[in-house]
Amino acid sequence: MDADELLKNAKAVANNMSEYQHNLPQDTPDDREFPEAARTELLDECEEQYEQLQQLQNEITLAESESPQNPPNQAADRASALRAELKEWLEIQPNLLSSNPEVLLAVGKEELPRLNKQLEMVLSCSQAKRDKLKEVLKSEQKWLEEKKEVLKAATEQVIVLQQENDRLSEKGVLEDMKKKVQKVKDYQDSLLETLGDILAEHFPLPVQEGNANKKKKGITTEPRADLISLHDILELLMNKFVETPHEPYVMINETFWPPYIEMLLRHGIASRHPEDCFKIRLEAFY
Amino acid sequence: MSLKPYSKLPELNTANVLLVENEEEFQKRLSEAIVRQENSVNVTVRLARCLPLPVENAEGRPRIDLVVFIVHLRSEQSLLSTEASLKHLDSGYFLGKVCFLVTGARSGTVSYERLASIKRTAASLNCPLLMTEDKTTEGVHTAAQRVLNILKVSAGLVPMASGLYLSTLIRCSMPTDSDWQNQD
Amino acid sequence: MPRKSNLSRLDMNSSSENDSSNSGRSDRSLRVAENNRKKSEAEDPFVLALKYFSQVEEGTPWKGNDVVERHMAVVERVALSQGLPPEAISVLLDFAMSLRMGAALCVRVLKILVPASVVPQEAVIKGVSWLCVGKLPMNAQTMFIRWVLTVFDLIDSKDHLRAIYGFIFSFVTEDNLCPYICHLLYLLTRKESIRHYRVRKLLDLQSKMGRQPFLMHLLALYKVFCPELVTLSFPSKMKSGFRNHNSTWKVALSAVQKKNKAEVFSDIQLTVSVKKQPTSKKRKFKGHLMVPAMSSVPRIGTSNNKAFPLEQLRTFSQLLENLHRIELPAQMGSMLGSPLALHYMDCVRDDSAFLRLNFWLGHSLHEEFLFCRDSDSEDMTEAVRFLNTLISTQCFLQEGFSSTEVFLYKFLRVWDGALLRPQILGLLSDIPVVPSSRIKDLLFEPLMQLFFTSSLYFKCSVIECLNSMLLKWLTWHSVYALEDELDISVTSHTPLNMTLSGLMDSVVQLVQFVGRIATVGLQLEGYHPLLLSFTLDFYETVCDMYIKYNLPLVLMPPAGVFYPFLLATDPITVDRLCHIMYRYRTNLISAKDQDQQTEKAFHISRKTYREFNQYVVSIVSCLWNSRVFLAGMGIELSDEVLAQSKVPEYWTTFSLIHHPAFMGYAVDFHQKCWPERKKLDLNSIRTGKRWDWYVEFLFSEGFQGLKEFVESSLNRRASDREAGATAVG
Repeated sequence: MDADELLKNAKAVANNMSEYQHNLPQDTPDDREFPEAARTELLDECEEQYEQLQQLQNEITLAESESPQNPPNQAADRASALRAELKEWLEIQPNLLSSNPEVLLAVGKEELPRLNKQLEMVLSCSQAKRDKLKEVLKSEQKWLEEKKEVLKAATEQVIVLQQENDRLSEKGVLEDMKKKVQKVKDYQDSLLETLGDILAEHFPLPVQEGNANKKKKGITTEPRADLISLHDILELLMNKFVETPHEPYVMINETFWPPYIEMLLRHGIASRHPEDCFKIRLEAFY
Repeated sequence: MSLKPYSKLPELNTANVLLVENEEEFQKRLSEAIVRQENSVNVTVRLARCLPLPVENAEGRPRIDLVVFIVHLRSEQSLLSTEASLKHLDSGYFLGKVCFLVTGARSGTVSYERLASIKRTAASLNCPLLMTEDKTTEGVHTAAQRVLNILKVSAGLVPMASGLYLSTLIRCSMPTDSDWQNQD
Repeated sequence: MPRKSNLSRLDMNSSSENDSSNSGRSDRSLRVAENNRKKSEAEDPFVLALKYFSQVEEGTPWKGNDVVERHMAVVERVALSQGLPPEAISVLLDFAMSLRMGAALCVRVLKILVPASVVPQEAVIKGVSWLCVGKLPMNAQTMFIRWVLTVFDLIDSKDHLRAIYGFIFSFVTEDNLCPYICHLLYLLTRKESIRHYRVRKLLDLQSKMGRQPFLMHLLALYKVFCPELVTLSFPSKMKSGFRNHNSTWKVALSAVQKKNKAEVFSDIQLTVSVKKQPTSKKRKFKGHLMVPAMSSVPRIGTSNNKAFPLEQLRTFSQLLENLHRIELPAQMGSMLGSPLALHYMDCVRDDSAFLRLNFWLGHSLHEEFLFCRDSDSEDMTEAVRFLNTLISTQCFLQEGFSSTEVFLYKFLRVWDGALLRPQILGLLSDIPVVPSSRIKDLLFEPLMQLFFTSSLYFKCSVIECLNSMLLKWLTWHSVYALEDELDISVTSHTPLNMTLSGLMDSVVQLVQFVGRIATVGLQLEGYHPLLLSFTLDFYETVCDMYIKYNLPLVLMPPAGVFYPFLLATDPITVDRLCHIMYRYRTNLISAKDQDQQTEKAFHISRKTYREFNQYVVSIVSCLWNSRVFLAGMGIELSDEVLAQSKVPEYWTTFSLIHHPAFMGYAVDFHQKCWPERKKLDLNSIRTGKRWDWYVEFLFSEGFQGLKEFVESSLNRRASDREAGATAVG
């Protein structure tokens, strides 16, 4: 709960104390003057304290002027200060307020309204908490209801599925599977076709005479005439991979145009044999 | 001449705080918020750009119960000025009468190094370091309230508690957090 | 996948646009009609500029080209003031990525590519294809990917992007792009995208680049989907993984979105669903802090066409009917605040969903609350709403997200104690059990600084927060702990596995921490009844840990908390203390029985018994036997001080008659017994049967705790008015 909200509630309660007003005693009329004697006693005590304070101040000044300016040592200073404070705490005797009943009465009178205000805060805070708990309870109950329903629905679903499962005949499943297989085969065919088209269109074999568009004009050796297409290379790799999965490597020979090999390797489509650089395989795409 | 914590007599029901800020942009708003909030004790707020304080005013200056250094992480200068001012403070102040207020720590634009640096300083002096939202009214209000809480203790107005005691509870710890890493 | 196009102000019939809109994004007849209607706008400089960019010839020089400058200026102005409509994004992205006028203009255009509403998927696809051409300079490449990440939530659908997962994946080998590519892949990955060779590639990269957080996060996601493919183990708390990517556009984007709020919202509605959703109120755009609208990835042509997209769920009964075939949305953040979605999530317990949600959340929290540039705004309503949604989500799922946890630990260190206080403390109370080795650094230290410097209300809120944190830990334990193997996994979605002793260590630390801060806090606040009340709440949880939550642990409050309760000025505090002591007794006795019956019971130290008995003796000697301040009764004072006080029979001052908390009742009782008496003599209550009647009178006033305590812990001796405390141990 927000504390500000709390405070607001507390104030509201303070303004409207009807809930417990009836069992509060009447305010006692404060007609008695604070006795002179008590006042004097208090003032004397103050004087005494002040004198002590001044004495201490003098001691401090004296001590400061006397002590040579040592380079301050944080840790040591702190440790000794803490030790001193600890000692003080251990030795200190509780101080009585005053033994004068008049003074005590005055203190008590001051204390009670303050306590009253504080308790009003506690009251309003408890009320706010109670209201919040009620809300939480309500939402938790709703939550629980819904959870139960979800559980019920899921259980029913499981039963339905199980029944369906039992009902399915072997033949139906087979039929279904066949359809799926056919579908996948068709899809594969169309993929291969597309691949073929792309390869044919975008990856031609080098034309034999020095091509003007080629950047690498420095290549002196003419490409061989018996080069196989990228299409063929891929087909070789794929077939090998499917036919002999334990030995998917293909020997490279002069009919493989090196730039295409390079490309396949660079793009992670193929990889070289770790020991024999003339063997390559299709990357295991699964 | 360095500022000393006990060179003057305390006054009845009074607490005095000194706000040190090189930029002088936040201290005024903070001081107003502090004065506005406290009504049971006489609080006086004194402002300074840096330490040492001018000698000519030393006579009329009351005993300072708490020195607050305002550090803006947005500016390197703010950090440097604070480090320089610290040298002009009597070591007695570091026994629970100094605190640091840091602004802008939530902003990703400030370098983590700067925050780590001021944290190291605060930790080595065993002083508390408070994070502040200086841009919002609520933030200023909160900062004022927290400074007042520390001030009342360090001025001896809270029974059974001393500044030294409180500072051991709230002092800044050395920044060691390794998983504190802002994204880039 | 037809999409209603946003034809706000564009007249696009240029050839290049037609080429790129091959997916049929726009309806042609609609376009023609639009054309006629908007003919008057044909002279709009923005339209002209776009026309220019879509038609400009390759190789046109840009240096000193006034025409292009003029058009650029128009486009920049529109982009930064109101954002660019989808078609403009397509045109400009294509223009930039094709490098038709060189790399400099490319980067310049990318920088201002601020969408007003959505980003057409095809534009992004086209961008990726230009990326594949491989002519872009490196800075333009990174910028493009960063842009895609920034606008990812605004891309109208992601199915085609997922279809080219492999193409995007191939860029991970580029060192500079890798972090951003990993992030993009993270957002796109589904189970189908994970392949053995991709895992291998990432592992390869990792061995080359070291354990980079972006690789780790992607691999972690892979592992969630396909644990059999990734055998790596990951640390339970990973560094926030992905680099900040949106710095270039964030400010402009949030400004534009704020401005176009209403408009954007309706646009999204158009693309997402036809009907207004029941929960859409919660998902409005919240400036830059938004819970994204829900849209799932439509699957075209897959066999699984029965899938029911989550965003089409309207009613609870629909959820129940379609429980088995619901598809998660593409943007996991949209699940926050939708009770139906959360039900589903809770039901399927899909790890990848949690991981994705966590990732989105961590990023948003970090961006908004820890990385806020110049957040001068006083208006926190958006943030409040967002965090409240998060709190209710966590409450619904009954567990905290690990990204919230990581965020909180960072946030606590820079928190001023006031900003979003209810939300932050609410989230904090949800965090799962913190290992005892880190609890001090992560939690106690920052909290302690805040606690002792902040107001009374903050102190109360912190104690309340820690109480509800403890309650949740205990509840988790009681739910997940298995009887035979006392080994628990606290939550199913954090990799944190915790043993019983680990949990107990953390609980001990937490309880002791509260004991410490409450002791000092009470002292600083002058034993304020409000703080006393919150501390009592905490110990009401602590005293019942064994019986209520089956955690074999009994921890007594420290003296600094106990005696303030006992000597409090109000009867409720004393009454609640009595109740707590009664519960402690019940727990201790039950534990002792267990101890004697079975072997695996836990052992309670002698010290705990001693402490408990000492406290009971204190209460009895205070309230019943009028022996306070006497030797051996808990509180002692020197004789001189007591003599100085001149209080007669000082040892009776905290008896049930004279205790400041009960004196009012004693006076009442006195009046009832002797209505005619003028002189008040409370001591006369102590004589004869009156004392018993007085105690009965107190019970009748509702002091149940007192009653429980009296009935369990007191053995009254008939001979005199003395009572003995019944010890346990």
